[in-house]
Amino acid sequence: MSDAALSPTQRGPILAIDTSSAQGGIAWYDGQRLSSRSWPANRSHTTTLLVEIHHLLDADGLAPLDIAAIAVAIGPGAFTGLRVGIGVAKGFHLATGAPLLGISTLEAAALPFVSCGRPLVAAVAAGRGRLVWAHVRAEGAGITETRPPRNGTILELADELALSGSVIVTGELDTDQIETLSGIAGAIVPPATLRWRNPASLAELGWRRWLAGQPDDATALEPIYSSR
Amino acid sequence: MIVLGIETSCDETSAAVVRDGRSVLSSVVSSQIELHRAHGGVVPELAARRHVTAIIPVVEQSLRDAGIERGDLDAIAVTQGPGLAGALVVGMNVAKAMAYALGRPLVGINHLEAHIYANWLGESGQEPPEPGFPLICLLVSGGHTELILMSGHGRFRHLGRTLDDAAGEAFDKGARLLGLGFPGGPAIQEAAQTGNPEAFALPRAWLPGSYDFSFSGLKTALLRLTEPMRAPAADREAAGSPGGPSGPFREHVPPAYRPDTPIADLAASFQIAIVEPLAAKTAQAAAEFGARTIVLAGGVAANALLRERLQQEVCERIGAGVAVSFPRLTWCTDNAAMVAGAAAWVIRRGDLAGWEADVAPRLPLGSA
Ligand SMILES: [Zn+2]
Repeated sequence: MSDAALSPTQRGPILAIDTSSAQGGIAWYDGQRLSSRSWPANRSHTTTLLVEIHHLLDADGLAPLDIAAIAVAIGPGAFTGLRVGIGVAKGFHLATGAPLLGISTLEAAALPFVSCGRPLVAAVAAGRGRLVWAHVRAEGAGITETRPPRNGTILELADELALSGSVIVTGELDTDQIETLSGIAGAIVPPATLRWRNPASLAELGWRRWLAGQPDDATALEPIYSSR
Repeated sequence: MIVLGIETSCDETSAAVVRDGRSVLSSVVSSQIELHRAHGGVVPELAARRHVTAIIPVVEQSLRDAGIERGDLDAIAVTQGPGLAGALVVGMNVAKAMAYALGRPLVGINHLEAHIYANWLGESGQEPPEPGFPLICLLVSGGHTELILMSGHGRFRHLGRTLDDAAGEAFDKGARLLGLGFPGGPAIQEAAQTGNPEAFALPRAWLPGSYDFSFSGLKTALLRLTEPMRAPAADREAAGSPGGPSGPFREHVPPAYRPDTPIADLAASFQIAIVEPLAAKTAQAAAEFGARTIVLAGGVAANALLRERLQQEVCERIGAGVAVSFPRLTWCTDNAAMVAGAAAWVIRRGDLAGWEADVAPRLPLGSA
């Protein structure tokens, strides 16, 4: 087999991979058709991710070479999980040359609510009960973080929200964390399954960047290592 | 059969292409030594981070050097363990996705087995004779101190291991105590050149009746011995940077010694205390199990005193009939050529990995 035979089709779908936290997510998307899977990977991203990708593509008759580009969540999130997704993305790139698109996990979490016209905070679990969150808003075809992400406890987030007025809080929060936020006037917390990151959101943001012709440098792509 | 190997178990990001388990077509190693030097040892989180950004150029270089295209690969092999979990994860996931996207089999390799199979490797056309079985391997590095009996392909028996620090780790800790830098093995060997190995009586843990090793008592003894030789606190502040940890990963400040401290004698006495049990137990195991070959593997195999003492012990205990061999140094330290090489033998025994394969930080050697 020559390398030319292994080059990906330029017009094919993109594959989206999100291993930022316990809930894993993948999708393929070509601007019109979408298929996605989301599963409780917990700490087993290494053992589950490629099995899930294989099932997702195989079920729709897609082969790895049909994938034109790969969108991968780069965090913030759990470091090892992020390295699993980015590692698989880099392996694909090495095998087929598919360009890579690194997408912020917080922006993927924010996408479903960003057009609600209210202030929005997106959060992701950062391990050991901590969270990373950012205030975000829509800007053109993308999403902008209006302040740098912050790594802290749910109590620190609650203190910040108490000063924010009306605000939607999205992302993976556990029941104790939601309990902590429930007393804060103005904080709107949508139902759990709507708050969890949907792999389709990651695919959408990746697709927009793919159409804009802005892939990342595959070699340098790495997780966002949010510090304490 | 042409195999791409990937190795990220510790602090080297490596990829290599090997034909039929014998001929090294390319071997690329991106070392992180400089990254970890400031910390006096390998920092696992830093190692994992570096693998992520080093892996693509390393794999691409290995394919270019071998003069092959991706489609020419027959299998992708990757170190599954033992090693640092966060570091192994990078290589495993890159290898899996490559194998999947290329439609080739994935092979998970035991890092210890790979070290042994480094003794089968040569440049194309210059492969060494195949080592004869039964074989005794002393694998000594910063991560391992293992004594292994190999009675045939895929047939391994773990005879002994370190109960605490690995030999290379002991060298690192000793070098750090003596202010000699990282990695410790070469630093101690160099400092010991002009020293007297009998100047200080440091303990050897012989652990009679077993092939296990122990080096933590030796490290403690060196600490006790050298503490009174250190410069007063005021001078130490001037020598190293004062203050607390800088950044999330603390930097190591080397100790300062009084000017008359016999560093060379200390290094020589420390080195012989590590080497003597290694050489003696390896020769003893070779005699007990009737080994035809003794092979060294791991970075500490580069230690000249170890090679010399081992030859000497073998001659005294068994005679000249047993071959003692060392792979080329670049295949002794962690590298992917040994991984791609071992893969040929693992594939021959039909042992392929599935997409659900996991890393195994504490993976033991297969049973004999
Ligand atoms: Zn090793």
